[in-house]
Amino acid sequence: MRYLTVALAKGRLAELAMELFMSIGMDCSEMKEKTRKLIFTDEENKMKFILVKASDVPTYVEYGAADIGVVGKDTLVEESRNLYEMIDLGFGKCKMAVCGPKELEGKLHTMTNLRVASKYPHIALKYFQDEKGQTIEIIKLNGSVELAPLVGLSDVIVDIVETGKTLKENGLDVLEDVCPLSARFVVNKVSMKMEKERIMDIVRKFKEKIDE
Amino acid sequence: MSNWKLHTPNGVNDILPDECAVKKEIESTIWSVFSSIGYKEVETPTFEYYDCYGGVDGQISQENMFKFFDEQGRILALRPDFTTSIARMAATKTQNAAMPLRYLYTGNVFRVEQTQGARQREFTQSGIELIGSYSPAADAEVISAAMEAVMAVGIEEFSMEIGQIAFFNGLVKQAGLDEKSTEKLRERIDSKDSVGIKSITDKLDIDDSIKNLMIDLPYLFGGEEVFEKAYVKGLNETSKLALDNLKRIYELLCLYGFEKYVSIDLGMLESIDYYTGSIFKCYTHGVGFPICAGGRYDNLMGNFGAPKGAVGAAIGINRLISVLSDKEVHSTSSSLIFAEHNGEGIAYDIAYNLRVNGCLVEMYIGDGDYTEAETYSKGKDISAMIRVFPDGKIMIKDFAKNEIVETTANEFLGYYDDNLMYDEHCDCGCEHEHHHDHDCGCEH
Repeated sequence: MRYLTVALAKGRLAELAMELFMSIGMDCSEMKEKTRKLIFTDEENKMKFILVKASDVPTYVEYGAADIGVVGKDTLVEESRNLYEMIDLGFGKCKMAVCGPKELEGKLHTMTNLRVASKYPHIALKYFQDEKGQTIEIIKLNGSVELAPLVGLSDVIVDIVETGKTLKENGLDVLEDVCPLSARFVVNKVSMKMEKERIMDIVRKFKEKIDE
Repeated sequence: MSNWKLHTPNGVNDILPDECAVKKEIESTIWSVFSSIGYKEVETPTFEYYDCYGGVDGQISQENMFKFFDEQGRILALRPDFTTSIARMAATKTQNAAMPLRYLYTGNVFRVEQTQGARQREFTQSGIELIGSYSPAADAEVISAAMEAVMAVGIEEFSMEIGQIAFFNGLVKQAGLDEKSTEKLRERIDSKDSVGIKSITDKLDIDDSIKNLMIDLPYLFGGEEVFEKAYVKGLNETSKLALDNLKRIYELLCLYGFEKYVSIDLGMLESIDYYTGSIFKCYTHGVGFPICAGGRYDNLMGNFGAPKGAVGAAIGINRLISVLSDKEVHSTSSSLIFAEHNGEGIAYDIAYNLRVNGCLVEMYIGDGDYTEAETYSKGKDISAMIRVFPDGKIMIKDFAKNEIVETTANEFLGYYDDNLMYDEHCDCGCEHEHHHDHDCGCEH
């Protein structure tokens, strides 16, 4: 039997995903130990788990370096890779939103040169250009995006909103919702065909767990 | 400053001898398979007017083509695939030919792909087009030919997935979806995103059976049982005919003996503006992308003014190489000829005669002596050395057997042209002017 390789987005998502895999009988206890290892093997079930940066999960899966991936919907939309997005795992729930100073609420469409700062330039562009039909200027940032409107780098930001606490503390509000987000179970298209039974078995078991 | 001249651009590659040998072998194997099924090789230009490729709802979008201008300012593009060009050629140049036409091709195509993805911007495709038939037997022929080719190059484990675009088209027509929602639904079904599909179908006012079918579509893959699940009540004519067509193709392929390789996937919905009926992809272990893809494109020929049914398949040679790279490289070793001073003419003649008889013969062109030539041969794939003397004497050293045979060019080749012999006069005064393997008693 071949190994099935699962790419997990490092961090909290990986921990939650591991719990889910363990709940259906996979052994990844090795991962719970404090270690710097990035690859873990479950010899009994012939599974390999690898830890990669969230934004790299879709890449690993698309190229078949991993058969399966667990990653946030935000990363999937941003990377727009060619893969199967099989299940909404239901954890890691939050949303993508346009945020800015309250006085801009309801006025975004009237601004001709809207400057939008985001870690997710594709999502921002897709939302404004394709869904709203508005031409905007994108400023790609890598962190502390909330800062951008405060120092005049941009008018608004497009970012993940979980509790809204960071926004509040920086005097920003959610102006428009872009889309809801949560963790997804993704599969390489070739693996799906070549390892149909094993992958569909995991999918079935996961769905049962989620429905519980 | 970067020294660009030392590097190749993103997405293009040099292919060195070992890999090139594998590539050519694969290409010629595939060529033989297609050719034996009745396909004739054609070539189309490497670049054409952009309108040719981009005029229809093409399979490859505008931003994925390399474009440039001719001197009149018209837009040209490097071919992103062969099918469009071959359809144009068939539509404009074979009006009176008997149908169907069977064409095969091998060549490089060019696509602008993301620079950081490990994707190639120039890669080789080998494929076939069967033009002038709407029959499911045509689809079955092309699909089976593709599988024959894949097997012939040595891939034993693979899966050929077949879908039907018209089935989906029938469903969305029935549901009365507009273009935008159709595209959204297609995208989500193609990526098996059940959540996304549900969010669209929930808003539709259609039969539950059709609604459920749309939601189930991503999971409608497998063997014959898929048809039972897909033939639901309330299907419209388009969808029904599409299923009948797919079922027939599947039956034929099973009859041909491909049952263990073929499966159905009704949720495969890529390039629906381009393909009109069957669509297929072939997968194997070791490469995360299809090694072969194709389908029926009945609208393309009409776009060039000659409406005709057509179906084709293309095999990605580079992807096959990556699958087969562990296989042993089949290389032929050669012989090295070393000419002593003034033996060059004889040496060349020996080389020529051996080459005509199918041997690979390399001439030593270094400045060194015989010992150096032998050292040189160690680093190359050379099985024997032939040392040629000006008087026609030769020494053949077989590295494998580690033995040396001495003979003459005459004997070795079975004849010899005296005129080629270097005219070396010695002053021994005997009648034998050229040859010194006689007993005239001189020191030569």
